[in-house]
Amino acid sequence: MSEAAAPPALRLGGTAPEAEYRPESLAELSQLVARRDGLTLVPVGSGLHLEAGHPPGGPWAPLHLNGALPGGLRHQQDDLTLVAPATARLRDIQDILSSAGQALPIDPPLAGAATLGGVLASGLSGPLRSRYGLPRDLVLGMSVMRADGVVVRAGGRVVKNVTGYDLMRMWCGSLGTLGIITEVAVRVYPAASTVAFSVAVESVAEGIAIVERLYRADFRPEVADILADERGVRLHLRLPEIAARAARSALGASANSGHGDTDYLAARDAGHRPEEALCLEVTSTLRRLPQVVDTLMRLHAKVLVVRPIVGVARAAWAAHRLPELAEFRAAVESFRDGRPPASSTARIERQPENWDGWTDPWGTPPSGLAIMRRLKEAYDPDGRLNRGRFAGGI
Amino acid sequence: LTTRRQLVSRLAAICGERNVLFRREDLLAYEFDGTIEKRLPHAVAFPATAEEVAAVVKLCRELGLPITPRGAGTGLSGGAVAMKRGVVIATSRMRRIIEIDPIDRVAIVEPGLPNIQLSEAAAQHGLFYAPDPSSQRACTIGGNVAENAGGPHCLALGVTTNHVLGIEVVTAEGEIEWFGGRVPGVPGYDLRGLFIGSEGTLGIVTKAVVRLLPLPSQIVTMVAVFETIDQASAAVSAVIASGIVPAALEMMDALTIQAVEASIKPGFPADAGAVLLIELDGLAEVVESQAASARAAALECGAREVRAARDTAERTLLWRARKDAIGALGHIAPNYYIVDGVVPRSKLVDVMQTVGAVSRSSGFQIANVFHAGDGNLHPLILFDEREPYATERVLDAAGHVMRACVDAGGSLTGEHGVGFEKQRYMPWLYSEVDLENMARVRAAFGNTGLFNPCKVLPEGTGCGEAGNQAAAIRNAGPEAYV
Repeated sequence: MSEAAAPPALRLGGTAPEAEYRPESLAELSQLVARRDGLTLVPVGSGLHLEAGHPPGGPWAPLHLNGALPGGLRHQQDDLTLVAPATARLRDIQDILSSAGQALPIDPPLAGAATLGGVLASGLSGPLRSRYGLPRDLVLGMSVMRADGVVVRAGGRVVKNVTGYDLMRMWCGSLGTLGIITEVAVRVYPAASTVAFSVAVESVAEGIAIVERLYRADFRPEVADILADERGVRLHLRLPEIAARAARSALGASANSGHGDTDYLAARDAGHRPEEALCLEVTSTLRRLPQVVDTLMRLHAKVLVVRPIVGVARAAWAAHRLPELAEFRAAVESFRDGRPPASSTARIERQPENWDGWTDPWGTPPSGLAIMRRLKEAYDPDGRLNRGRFAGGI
Repeated sequence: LTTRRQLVSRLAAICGERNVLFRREDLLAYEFDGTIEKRLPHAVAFPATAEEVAAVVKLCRELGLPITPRGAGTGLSGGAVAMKRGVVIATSRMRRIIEIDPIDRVAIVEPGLPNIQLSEAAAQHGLFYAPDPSSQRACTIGGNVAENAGGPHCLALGVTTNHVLGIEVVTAEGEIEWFGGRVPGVPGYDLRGLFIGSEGTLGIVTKAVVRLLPLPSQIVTMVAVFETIDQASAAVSAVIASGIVPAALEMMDALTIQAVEASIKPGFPADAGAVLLIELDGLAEVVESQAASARAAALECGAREVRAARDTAERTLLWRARKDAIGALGHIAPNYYIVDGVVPRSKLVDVMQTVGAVSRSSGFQIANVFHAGDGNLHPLILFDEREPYATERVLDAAGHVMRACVDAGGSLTGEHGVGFEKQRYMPWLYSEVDLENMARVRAAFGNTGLFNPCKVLPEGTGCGEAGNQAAAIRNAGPEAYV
């Protein structure tokens, strides 16, 4: 399972690592994690989304997990479940599943190379979220190595289970700050036979209105993303075959499904392609979504992706055409509604290195921060794992 | 030390005199839930606001008294039974729908609101709230959040945690906090997800923001009749393997069929070995094609008859047969005990055979009515508690069924919760290290051991010996120490 070395210039927040670790077994990983050498460890799966969050709070070392986690993919076809080491690539998981006519509906940016554990830890999601929910909703059970090197388990591998605390939800999206995910059991789905196509729309607002109409009329699209970029504004849809026929005739759509896959990938990967340097995801109520879109338009994003069913608007900027920092910050703050229950949130998924410290990638947790700190204290009191990188400086 | 009189007067100062119960005859209604555990609390408080809940929690902490949250008391794991006595905090005065927003498709409700009332109110906007436990006419949203409740329609739509966006809670420490919001993605750890299903051991929900879904445009409900459970189980797998995720896929065995035919009369053949309720919903064209595939799959597996409900009235009757089946079975024996194990779907046939074996060896009749699509079994052990040692023998039989579920790679509970009654079995699934790891969550929320004690995680003393009711009643006088 040896993996190509990370690029030599691996830096976070402008600082280079003090060391680099590549344990070759679970036992070695455990010893390494439990050791206290003054460094904070940055767990690395595929290394695709390492820039998520604040820079490490102190001297750090990347901890490459490939090669440390045992076990292969275990697919229980009849049960529609799969157990995989956290370092399993989504691409390999989909390969195994598709040969059995099944699929795992998790498609974060750059999905193929991403690792299952990395996706869950970072909390990223993709277009399929409109139909299947967040990646964390598909998790049935998990094993996690705590900062003391001990592996603990929660959940199981059945699709319905309330036995014990739902630690999986605490671990998902926690950026590895409470432990390193080592193994995951997920629910998979029969691969629906679907049709994808795009239709040109006048504006993002028109796209939102169409999606709303389809949603209310029970079309149940797997993907319903509006894309606005240099190629214009269009609505990309993926629906079960029969529903797709009905949707096409309802929309009077011509058969321009040739762009299907291109648009899907454009919508999925927006913000994480090499030429892009800044990526923001805003989640808002439907009522507020048009206003969010307007604000993002005014910041001249290179690509805007709107996923109305789940209230998501994603914007990406190229490195050479960044918005004014002050304007960007003001917009982000306007999306971060202070009083709970929040009706919109904003997360900066990527930003230029020299912006570190000037923006907060997460925003302050509006409530419950004291409990979050106590959880960190309970599971990683020394800040061995991703110290300072999470929301609220955890 | 505090006397009951002092406790009651301080609770009354918070909630108002009329909103505190302390007389034995009043407390008796609060000593049990839907299971067989009983324990008399010292007092029941009915706060009306999050602030009052917080004040009661802080008072109990000050006095060192156990707290047990309670919704409608329909729970099926002893979660609302005050195992160490103390104060029960009931949410029945907090039952408002604060807001329904048909554009955002969100509702904000108080915890004591009965589940069905939310869907009824949402229906005016063409919306509904998805989780639909069989007890939905009585059970509350707060209780649903605590238990992460499911229901027949969770196969396609997910359980409570998939439909609750945010919660306002009073933590075990007595602090008012919001977890989540009107949208997902609120920064920080997902305390919302951690809290949902924590069975009232981390705090009490005081408001919930829930997601509402558009009512399906078309619904087809079919009944497939089989000679045996094995055939019906095979049909469950065949339907799902055909690429359909039905809205619901529910099974009833021969004993259940007879019981519901005797009272509800949904028109099941009296000699059937099993019936499957298959519900499909969505776009008319899609539902039509799925119904044809599901029918073919059922016939292929040996169904002797597959018919679809002709109209809403018949559909309602079929669902009443399913949701009231447990009540109908209550006519067969004076008491029942319901198991909630989950098995991987491929093990359904094996484990059902074990359930049959347990019935024969224990001498108890066991009826089965369950969520076949998710492998969530509900063997219902019928008994008469007046027979000597019946309760002990029933619990023993239930233990054997749960063991079989765990051995098949499944779990102890799919939707009813661990509560008091299953905590002793937790070591079957989790190591001591795993359990201690879970216990840290409780501490982080400020639970020092007195907030809904004896639930979820195995605990030592003071929990197991609930039988001494006589002593409890003797000690219930106004001057007794609490």
